[in-house]
Amino acid sequence: MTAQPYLSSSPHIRTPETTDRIMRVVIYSLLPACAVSVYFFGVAALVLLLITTLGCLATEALCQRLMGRTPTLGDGSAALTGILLALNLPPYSPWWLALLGAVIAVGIGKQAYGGLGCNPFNPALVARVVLLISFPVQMTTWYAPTPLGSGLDAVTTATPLGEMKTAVMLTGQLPAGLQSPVADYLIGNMAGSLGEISALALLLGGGWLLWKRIITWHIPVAYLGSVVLLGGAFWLVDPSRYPNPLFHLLTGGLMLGALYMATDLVTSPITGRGMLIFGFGCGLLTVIIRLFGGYPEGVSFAILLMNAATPLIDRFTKPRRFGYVRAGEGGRA
Amino acid sequence: MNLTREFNKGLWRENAVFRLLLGLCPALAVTTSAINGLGMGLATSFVLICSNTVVTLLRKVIPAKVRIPAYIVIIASFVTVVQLGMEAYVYDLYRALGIFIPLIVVNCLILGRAEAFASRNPLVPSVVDGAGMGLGFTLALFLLGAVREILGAGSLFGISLFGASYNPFLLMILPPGAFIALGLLLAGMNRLEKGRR
Amino acid sequence: MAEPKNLRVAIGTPLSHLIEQCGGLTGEPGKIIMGGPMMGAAQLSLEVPVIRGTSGVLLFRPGDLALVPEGPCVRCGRCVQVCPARILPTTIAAYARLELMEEAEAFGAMDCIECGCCSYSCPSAIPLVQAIRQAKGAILAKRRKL
Repeated sequence: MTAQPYLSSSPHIRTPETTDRIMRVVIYSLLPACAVSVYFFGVAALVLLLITTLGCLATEALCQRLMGRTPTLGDGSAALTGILLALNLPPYSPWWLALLGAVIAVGIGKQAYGGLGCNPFNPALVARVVLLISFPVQMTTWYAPTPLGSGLDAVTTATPLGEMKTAVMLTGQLPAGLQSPVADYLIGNMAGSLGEISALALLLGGGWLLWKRIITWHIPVAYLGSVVLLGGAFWLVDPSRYPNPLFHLLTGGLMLGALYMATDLVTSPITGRGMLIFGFGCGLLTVIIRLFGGYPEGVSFAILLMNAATPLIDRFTKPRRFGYVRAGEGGRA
Repeated sequence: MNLTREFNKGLWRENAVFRLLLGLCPALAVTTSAINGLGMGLATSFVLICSNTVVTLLRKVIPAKVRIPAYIVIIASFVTVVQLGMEAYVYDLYRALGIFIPLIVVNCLILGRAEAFASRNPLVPSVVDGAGMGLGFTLALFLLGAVREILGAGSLFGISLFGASYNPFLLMILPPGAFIALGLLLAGMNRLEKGRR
Repeated sequence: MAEPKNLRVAIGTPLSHLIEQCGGLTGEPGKIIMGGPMMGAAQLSLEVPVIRGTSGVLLFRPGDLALVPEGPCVRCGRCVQVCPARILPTTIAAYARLELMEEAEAFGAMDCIECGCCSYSCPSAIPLVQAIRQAKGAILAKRRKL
């Protein structure tokens, strides 16, 4: 025998799954949402998507170069952050806003912590919240969708959640008819961030992710479920003041948040039980901020706050090891 | 003892904010504008030089066991002087810095220099050390304040730089901006240092 | 291998004899494994004898070697999902690689059964079970010393 056979310890085979492939699948699953945003907001949406994606890739390359790390542009995580960031921006955002967001997302949200896998907060959401706090005017100027071929230029309007907040603050009553256009909310014919408008497109992509087993059901179910339960409880108490759970589900960034932002692998807990707690916490905070907070929408803040709690959740949800008995069950198992 | 060295070390090699990360509380809290940073830095420098002078003169008199309270009393006296002086002559700055002027008393930079340098060295080096450290601190605060003011308000010393079309990056003058700006400045300085070696 | 077969052989038969019985090699083996693909042990040469526990012999072509460069942990939790001992492979492996063996032990390193499912399923190709195995060795060595 000439060449020595390769020696390594078991296992000797491995899954075809790689991190690059996971990132790529998530990017593909966002395509329906991107398509809807381009349909409703035209070329401007496409330009925004391009700016943030290229901005994130460039920032990643620059940071890794400056810090002397191996460049990892090919793993797709920066591109994914870029797409998610664009989907979190209002349509017709100025180019510099998008670019600054991309630099913040990758530079401060991710690379400053040590790159992929080390960031405690979802980079795209960090950028969105930084922009929201820094540029409140640009980040809350919403436009009604103008579908391709409608011949309209942009029309400014309020998001359904914004409308609700203003009306409730002024009159203590929900505006009439706000909850009725369910079909519009479902397909995305409402004002909002690029990617959050169409619940249907997001559900399509999210369902595919679930089927591909990139994400597990725990976080979306716990998140959406707790919003429905809590939102529903308030609605039952006073339907003239609090919106119904369906309205909660379909408006604002909840779908995008629950399916894509909260399920971010890096910043969510690793155990199933932890994910359930995480999702529930997100839902609780979202409902509280939406109904009682100063901002009309609370998904970003809720997820970032729960991101901060992730290490703690991981600490307290260690699975019960095989063969061990829970304290107090004394010998029955 | 080389006096130039003692003076220079405070500017870069042992810069209070960028190297020793001392006195971060005022460095982060008041540097929302260049003028605030500069004012805070000068007030601290004054206290630092005076307290170093008195501590070094009294170093043989103060019993070792009660030296920390003694230093604090000395520092607090000068802080009171600064506070009353600022209230009388630069009232706007006094209002802007607020609680952070009396808090100079507990600035670890001042106590640190009293403990580590002035109590062990004769008069002249102590004064030079205080001046160098104070100037370094002032420069650092000014730099931090300037960066935050330029980005966060689009102005420097209250003079608008980019015209009305500039959208200020508000985060930079909010508390998180202080941490981000300090972190990035630190990273930049480490990078410069690495390049020199 | 030309024709894979089930063989009944005496303990001590060299692997090369088994290969001959199966029609010989079709090419240079890239890896020789005694046992299964998940827990079997890689061997240095075909002159190694069959021993009592030998359940099978696997030969990999050089192209079958799964050599993927390791990436950073993205906390996907796959290793946790697949772990039959219900421990946290990624956490233990991270501690083990930092030589923090006490922490590794506190997280249940000794309960690992070394099935290799974590390493198999890791999308970042982190050698999880290998790191845990090392931790177990270090912990046992320390216990013996005490």
